[in-house]
Amino acid sequence: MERQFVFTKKLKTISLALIIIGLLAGVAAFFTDKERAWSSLLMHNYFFLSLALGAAFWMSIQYITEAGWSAAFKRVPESMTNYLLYGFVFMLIIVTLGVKVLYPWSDPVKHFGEEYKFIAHHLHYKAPYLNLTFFIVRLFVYFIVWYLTIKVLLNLSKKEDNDKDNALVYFNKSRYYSRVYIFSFALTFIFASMDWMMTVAPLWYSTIFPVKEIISAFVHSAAVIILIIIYLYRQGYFPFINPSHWHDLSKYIFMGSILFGYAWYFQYMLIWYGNIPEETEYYFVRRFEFSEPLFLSVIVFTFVIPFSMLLWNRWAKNYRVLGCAAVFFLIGKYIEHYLMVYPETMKHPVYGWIELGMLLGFTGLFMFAVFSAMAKRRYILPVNHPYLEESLFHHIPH
Amino acid sequence: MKKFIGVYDDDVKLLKGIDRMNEDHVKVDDVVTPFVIEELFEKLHIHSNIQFLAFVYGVLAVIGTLAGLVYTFVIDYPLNIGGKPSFSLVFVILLFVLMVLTVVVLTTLTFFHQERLIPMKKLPFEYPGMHVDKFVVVVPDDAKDKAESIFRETGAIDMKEIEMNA
Repeated sequence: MERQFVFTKKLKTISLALIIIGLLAGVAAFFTDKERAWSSLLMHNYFFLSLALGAAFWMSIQYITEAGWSAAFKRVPESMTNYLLYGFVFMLIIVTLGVKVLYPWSDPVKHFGEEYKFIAHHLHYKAPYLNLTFFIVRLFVYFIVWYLTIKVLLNLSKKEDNDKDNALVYFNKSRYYSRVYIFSFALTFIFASMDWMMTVAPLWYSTIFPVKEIISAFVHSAAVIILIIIYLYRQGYFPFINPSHWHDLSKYIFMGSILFGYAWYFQYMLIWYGNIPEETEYYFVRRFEFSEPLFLSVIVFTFVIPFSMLLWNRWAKNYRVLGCAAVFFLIGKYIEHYLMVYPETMKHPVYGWIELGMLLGFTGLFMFAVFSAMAKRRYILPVNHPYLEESLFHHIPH
Repeated sequence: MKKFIGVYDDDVKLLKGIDRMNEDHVKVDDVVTPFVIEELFEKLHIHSNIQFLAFVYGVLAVIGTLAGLVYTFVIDYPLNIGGKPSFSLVFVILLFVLMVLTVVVLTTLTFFHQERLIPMKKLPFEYPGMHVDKFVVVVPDDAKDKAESIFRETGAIDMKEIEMNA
C-alpha cells in the first residue's frame, strides 16, 4: 500500500537508449533534410506536449467532479505533467531557429515568391498578430501560465502526502486550483494550438480547430494514462484494480472517440459544405493531393475501431482489449498530427528513419520524464487522499 | 393470483433479505423500489437483452435510413445543388439523427412489450408508499412460511398476502 515507485535499471536503460536513438536520428536529420527534420520535431514535440497538458486537464476534471474511483491513479497524470519543461525547451528551439522553415508567414518572400502581396494578401492583415516578436512573447506567456497553474496543483499534492490531518484542506484547495487550471488552459491552449499548428498553413483558418485540439489533447492523454496504468498494474503496483476500474477508464476512450470523431467530422463537413476556396484548399491538399488513405485512416483509427471495440461491456472490462483500443486511438491521433504539418512542408507523404527515430526518441524522453517524476514521490498511491478508500473498493454492479 | 409481500423501509435491509432468500432458495418474483438499486440486478440474476437489441436496431436503422436517403436523393429525384454530388457527406447527419430516433422508439416499444405494459393498465398490486419510500419484495404464496421468517429476521416492517391484478 505505502509503496514507492522504483525506476528500475531496465526501464532506465530502455528510455535512455530510445533517447540516444532519437538524438542520433535528429542530428542526422538536420544534416540531410532540414525541412523534414523541423516538421518532424514540431509534430512530435507538439504531440507529447499536449499529452502533458491533457494529463493535467484529466486530473483537474477528477477534482472538480469529485470523482472517487480515480483517486488512486492520481500519480500517473501528475507525473505526465513533468514533460512540460522538456516541451518548453523544444518549442523554444522551434520558434527561434525553425520558424523561417516551418511558418510561411515569417518569410513570405521565400514561400510565396516576390509577388506575395497579391497571392497571400491576408498576411498583411494578420501581421499585427503573426509576427516573430509577439509569437515568442506568446510562447513564454503560455508556458508561464501552464507551469504556474500545474505547479500549484503538484505542490498541494505533495503537501497532502506529508500532512494527514489537513488532507481535506488540501483537497478543497486542489479543487479550487483545478478550476483555475481548466480555465487558463482552455484560454491559452486555444491560442497555442492556433500558433503552432494552424499557422503552418497561414492562409487557412478554422474557428473549430482549437476546440478539436483541446478535445484531442484531453482524450489522447487519457489513452496514455490508461497505458501507463496497465504497465504499472502488470508490475504489481495497483493490485486492487478490478473490472470496474477498467470499465470506468474505458469510458474515457469510448466517450473520447465519439467526441473526437464528431469534432473531426464537423470541421470537415462544414468546410466541405461552405465551399469557400481558401478553406477548402486545406482539405483538398490533404485528401486529394497528399494521401487519401492516410486522411481517411484518421477517422477509422480514432472513431470506428475504438468505438466498436469498447461497445461491448465484456471487452471494455478486459484490460488487454482496452490497451489495444488506446493504442489504436493513439495511432489515429499520430496520423492526424502528421497530416497537420507534413502536407504544408513536404508536399509528398514521407515516413522514414527521421520520423521513426524522432518518435522513438520522444517516447524515450517522455518515459524518462514520467517515470523519474513518479519515482521522486514517496508513495505511488496518494495515501492521504480523502477519496482513496472509495477508489480502492470501487465497484459497479453488473 | 395470490402472492405474499414483505415491506422494508431501508435498502440495506432489503439487500440482506434478498441474500437470505437466495440462500434458502426462495424464488423472488418481483421487487418494487422507489429508486434503482444496481445490486439487485446481480443478486436476482436479472439479465437484460435490451442493450444488444438497441445495437441491432441501430445497425438496421443505419442500413434502412441509408437506403431511403439513397433512393430519394440519388436514384429517384437527384437535384443539382451547387454542383455537389448527390450522394453526399450531409447524409451522415441525417443518418445519425434518424438512427437515434429509430433506436429510441424501437427500444421503448421493446421495453413495453417485455414488461407487458400498455397505457391504462392497472398496477399489479398496490401498497401505500411503494413508489415513495418503501421497498416491496414479492414472493410466491407457497413459499410463505420460509419467507415470513426471513422477513421477520431481516427487519421487514410489514408483510401480508395480496391478490395480484391479472
